[in-house]
Amino acid sequence: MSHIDPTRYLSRRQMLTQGGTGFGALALASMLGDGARGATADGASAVNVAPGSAAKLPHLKTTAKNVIFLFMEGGPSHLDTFDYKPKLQELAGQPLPKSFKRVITAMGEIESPLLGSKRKWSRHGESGMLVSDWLPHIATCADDLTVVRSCWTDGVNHSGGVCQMNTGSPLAGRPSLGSWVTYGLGTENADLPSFVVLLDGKETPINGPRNWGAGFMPGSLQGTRFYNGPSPIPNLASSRPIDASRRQRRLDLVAELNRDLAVDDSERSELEARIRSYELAFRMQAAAPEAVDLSQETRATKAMYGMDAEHTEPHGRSCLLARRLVERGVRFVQLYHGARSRWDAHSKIEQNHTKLCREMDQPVAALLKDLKMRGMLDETLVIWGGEFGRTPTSEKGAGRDHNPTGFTMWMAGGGIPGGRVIGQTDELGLHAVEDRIHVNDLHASILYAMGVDYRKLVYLHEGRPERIDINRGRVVKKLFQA
Amino acid sequence: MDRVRFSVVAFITVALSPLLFLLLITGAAHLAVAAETTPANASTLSAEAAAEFERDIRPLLAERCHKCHGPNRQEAGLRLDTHEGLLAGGDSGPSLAVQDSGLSLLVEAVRRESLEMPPDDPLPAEEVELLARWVKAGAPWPKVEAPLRNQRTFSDEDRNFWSLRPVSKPEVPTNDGHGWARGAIDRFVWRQLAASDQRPAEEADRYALLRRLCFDLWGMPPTPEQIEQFVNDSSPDAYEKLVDRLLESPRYGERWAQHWLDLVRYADSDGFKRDDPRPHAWRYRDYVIRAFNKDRPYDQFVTEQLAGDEIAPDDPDVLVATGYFHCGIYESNQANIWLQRTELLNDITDVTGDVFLGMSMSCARCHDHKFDPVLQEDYYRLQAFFSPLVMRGAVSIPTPEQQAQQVAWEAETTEVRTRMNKMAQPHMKGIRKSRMQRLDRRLNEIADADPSTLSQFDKQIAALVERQLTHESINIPAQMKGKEKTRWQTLEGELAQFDSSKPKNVAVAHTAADVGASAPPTIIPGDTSERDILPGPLTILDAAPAEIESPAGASESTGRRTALARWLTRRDNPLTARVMANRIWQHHFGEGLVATPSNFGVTGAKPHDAELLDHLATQLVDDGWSLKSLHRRIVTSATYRQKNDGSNDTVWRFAPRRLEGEQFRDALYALSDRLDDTAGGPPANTDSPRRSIYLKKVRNSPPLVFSVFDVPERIDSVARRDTTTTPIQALLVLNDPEQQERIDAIVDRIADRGSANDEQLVSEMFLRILNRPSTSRETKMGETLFADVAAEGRKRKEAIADLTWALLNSHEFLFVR
Repeated sequence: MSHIDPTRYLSRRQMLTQGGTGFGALALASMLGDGARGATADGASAVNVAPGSAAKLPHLKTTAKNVIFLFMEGGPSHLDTFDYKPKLQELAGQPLPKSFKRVITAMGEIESPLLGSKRKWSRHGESGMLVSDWLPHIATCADDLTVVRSCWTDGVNHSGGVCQMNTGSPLAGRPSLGSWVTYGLGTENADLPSFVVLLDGKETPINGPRNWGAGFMPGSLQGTRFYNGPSPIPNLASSRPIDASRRQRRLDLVAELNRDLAVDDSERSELEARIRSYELAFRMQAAAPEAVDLSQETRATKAMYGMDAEHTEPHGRSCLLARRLVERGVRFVQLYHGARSRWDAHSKIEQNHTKLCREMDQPVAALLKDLKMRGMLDETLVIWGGEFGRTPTSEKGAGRDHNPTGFTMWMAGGGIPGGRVIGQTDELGLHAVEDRIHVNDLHASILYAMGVDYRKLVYLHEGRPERIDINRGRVVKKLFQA
Repeated sequence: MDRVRFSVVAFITVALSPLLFLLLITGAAHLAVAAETTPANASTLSAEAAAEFERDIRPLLAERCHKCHGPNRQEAGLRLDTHEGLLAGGDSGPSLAVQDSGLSLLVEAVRRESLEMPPDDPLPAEEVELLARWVKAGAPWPKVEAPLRNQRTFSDEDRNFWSLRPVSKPEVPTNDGHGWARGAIDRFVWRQLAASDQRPAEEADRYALLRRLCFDLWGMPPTPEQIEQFVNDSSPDAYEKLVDRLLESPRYGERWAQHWLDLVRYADSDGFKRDDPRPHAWRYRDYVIRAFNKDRPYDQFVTEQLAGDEIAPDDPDVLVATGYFHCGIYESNQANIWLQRTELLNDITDVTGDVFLGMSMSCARCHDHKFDPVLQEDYYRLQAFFSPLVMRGAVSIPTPEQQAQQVAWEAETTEVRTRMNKMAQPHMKGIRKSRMQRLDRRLNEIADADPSTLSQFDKQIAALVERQLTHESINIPAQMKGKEKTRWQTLEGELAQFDSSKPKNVAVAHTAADVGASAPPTIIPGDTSERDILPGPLTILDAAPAEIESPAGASESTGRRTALARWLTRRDNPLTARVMANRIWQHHFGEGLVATPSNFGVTGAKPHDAELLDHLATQLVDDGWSLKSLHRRIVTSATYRQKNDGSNDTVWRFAPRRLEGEQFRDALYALSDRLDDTAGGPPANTDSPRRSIYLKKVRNSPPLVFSVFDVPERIDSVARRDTTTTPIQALLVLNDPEQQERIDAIVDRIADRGSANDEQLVSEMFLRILNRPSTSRETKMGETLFADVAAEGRKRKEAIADLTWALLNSHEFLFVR
């Protein structure tokens, strides 16, 4: 979306570092919209790479350019959505047969009677994929989905599970997937952050900003949280608006103050980083309002996303915003639905999941269709899932406990052929048994989809070469083979 | 600093072993090296091949093979953790020997064509392929520069590792740098400067020094009055007197406690999903601040935190120090209480290793450390000091007088309290029942058992169950309704009539206690012999178990933690003083003499100047472990006082650094004279003008200003904060309503009480915000602004606002230099 004029860039660069009036001059350029857009602080490439990032990538043939990760926080039930288990219906009310290996569940409900699914199941699309009646809209996209029924993870509780789905480890401290992607690929739009997190409401997911943190990598690689509602970026508009000339005077003053400061090389790099962050902030002030302005969308589009109904409005807004951001070159967008473990149906799963599926189903399906309609789905990898699934055994009569040992996620777009089911759980959906895919494998595969060899994307931390998969993942090639 | 690399390990230029070479040239028929194998022609291994090995093969062998064919067990005589072992093979022959299938034995085995390895779970096809490719390439095996540790023995090299050697008392260099050196530190630094043919920078001016010292020692900017006082003090020891004044102020402890609280990850909430409030945690926070302000000797500081309950069981001021053990995250609804005990113990072990020893112990939790001379057993030797701990909730800790009052009050109120108890019982039972349902049968048995019949371990488990059942988040009166509630309130009223005889301000705090005079066993997970690991120092320093004495005043405690504190604070402990002296240096200069302040191991950084570090560590002990003395030695040095003039010095000087979140916030309040300097007490709300250290630290929802300014999340021990620079930070400073309010207050303060003369006012503003007078050019710039604004017919206050805004957004304000 940008055209770079190297001469302009050079003069701008000179203003920045040599002229010493960088801040004011740049801000002026940005605010006047005279070409700062799309130019980058690092030079000839349109890919603005965050400081310290692995700019040499991608390593492999790229299929996906962007990722939209739809995180259903709390752990949706695979047994009532994508993983139909006739045996569970048959044995409902009985204890888990002795032949099944026990797992430690968060609430210790493994010995409670099996809970049958109340869903009606039907086949969808040419592929005839089984999807439950909780997801009528997503079911219409069946031929675009690759449903993975054999996911597993280590984290038994929400904190560990969400942390692991984001960072590969249930223990805090590692960089999130979006940070790794930004580290590897940078951004395509210098006017917006490369890694954006969208929340449906005020509620922050469990673990808070750590879920999109950069861990031990430079903080500039962390996700930028947008908020749901009319102004998704905090402080984008001034709470004390002043007129342009007065503002320019302020910026000139700052530039003048910075001009004669005697700084050494390390401080200069900080000074430049600061100027750059102000630049991006100013460019965001200029570009982000348009990017996040949903009023530019037609009524029909908004209706498709469910923005005309109260229950679908929040997630519809997030999904539509995600499409707009990806359209504008944001590399990695993560959406949380059900923040604060709302999917966590320990009791009354019928009420809980009925409500949550209704909030999410239509917007997510609309996102897939919209991306496809605009020809963006091939280059956008959409991932759906939670931190774990739920047990076939019941909890508090009509709920289900956490199940990290077997659960479902799906992917669509980004070069992944649709209409397929990969992997299986056992007859009751407790353990993944066929084509088991660990979270670390999933992360390795997502990087693969983006053209990055996860084994080569290494960050040296305290002498240790660190990778997204903690040296234990593998690419699931099956995902990419039709 | 971390650096980016694309290949994993890049050294290694070593031949395949002579043994393989021998095999290659002799090549007996049935032992022929795999035909698929490219002869290992190279006597050197390419960096790429080496990197591939480290990336793909070594982890694979370690994960899939070493358990049975590794250092501890050599099933069928085969060992696959060394190159020699691979080549020699096992009972079935050399691993690379070609079989009828044309494959080497190793590849055949993992393909399960003859032997089936690994026996339980076949390798995934990709891993088989990796191994086959590797064998085909000649099974290249790099010789590692730092050889992986051979287990359970220590070499002379290990014993000689710099951080494990006894602290030396290096001779202070004689050369004083032509009179530049003010003290011993400067002589060491001069020696380094001279060695690289450099000169020290000149001394910074008084304005810069004062700002530097105030942010460093107080965490906030100097006031215009302080500036006046210092720059006009013509006495020869004006600087030293200033340092003393700053160190004597309570603001000092409020700043330096923050560094410690980062290390122990202090917060006022539990973390995890619920993130329940932890309303009594602040007692520990205040203890730390008090300890710094009173210059509590560091050995005592260590001992009080680790064993305050054993050394001074009747002194609430010391007891609260053991809040150290309750700083970590806690999940009040964790159903797997067995796991919870393990996790809490592991957490304490890890953090203690990081904080006091500067040794990253966590690797050794599962295996002997791969690089450091730390055995897996050492992890559990350290953990065994804590294994008797009871992880209970907060308890009240009355003084003896309060205790007496309490007894009297209880006697007076027996009747009403009995009635209240009776009312509460059914609710408590209900809560208990619903919570106990989630727990497994054994936990229910333990919780219901007569405590005297339980083992020490089960007593600890029972305490963890109890802690969940009595968690602060449980509110019984809130469950009452209607008449019941009215009755309850009436009783509360009756009880309140006795309030005058109730002891006042009894401290409620999280403290440590052992389960009893004996400890439950400490067993290394997976050790089928179930050997009880006794507490002890790192084996390499002292292989004997620690000597444990029953604490004099605390007969119901094992004395283990006192023994740990004694070992840590012994003069001959090589780590404690070095680690702490380095931390102090680090916070003064921006970087430690050892750049990895909580990792003094092989994977950590080497000291920039080992002799200087030992000098400081020795001084620290010789000064009676006084931290203030060490501060004084450092900040009065010529090294610390050097100017930052833009030159790239390689040797020590005060590194320019961005304001930390707390410094930034406190400064904005201070600049409008609105900072409330009330000390201590329960946590304040985040919109309070109290100093940032006193604000409520809710783990999952930090104020925006803290999260964007890199205040740690308080999950892990943080020895060195990140400094990030993001657009959200810029937007926060530019536009955030809360920051704007604070900036408005600064503008008001200046407009209300500043000079009526423009030139004068500009100068005052520079002094207030940047803590230095304006240059003549800057004064002129300011005057022009005022004149322009006036000419445009706008209010003078607008000019003040513009200049204030510019000063606050200048690089100079955000940086301490």
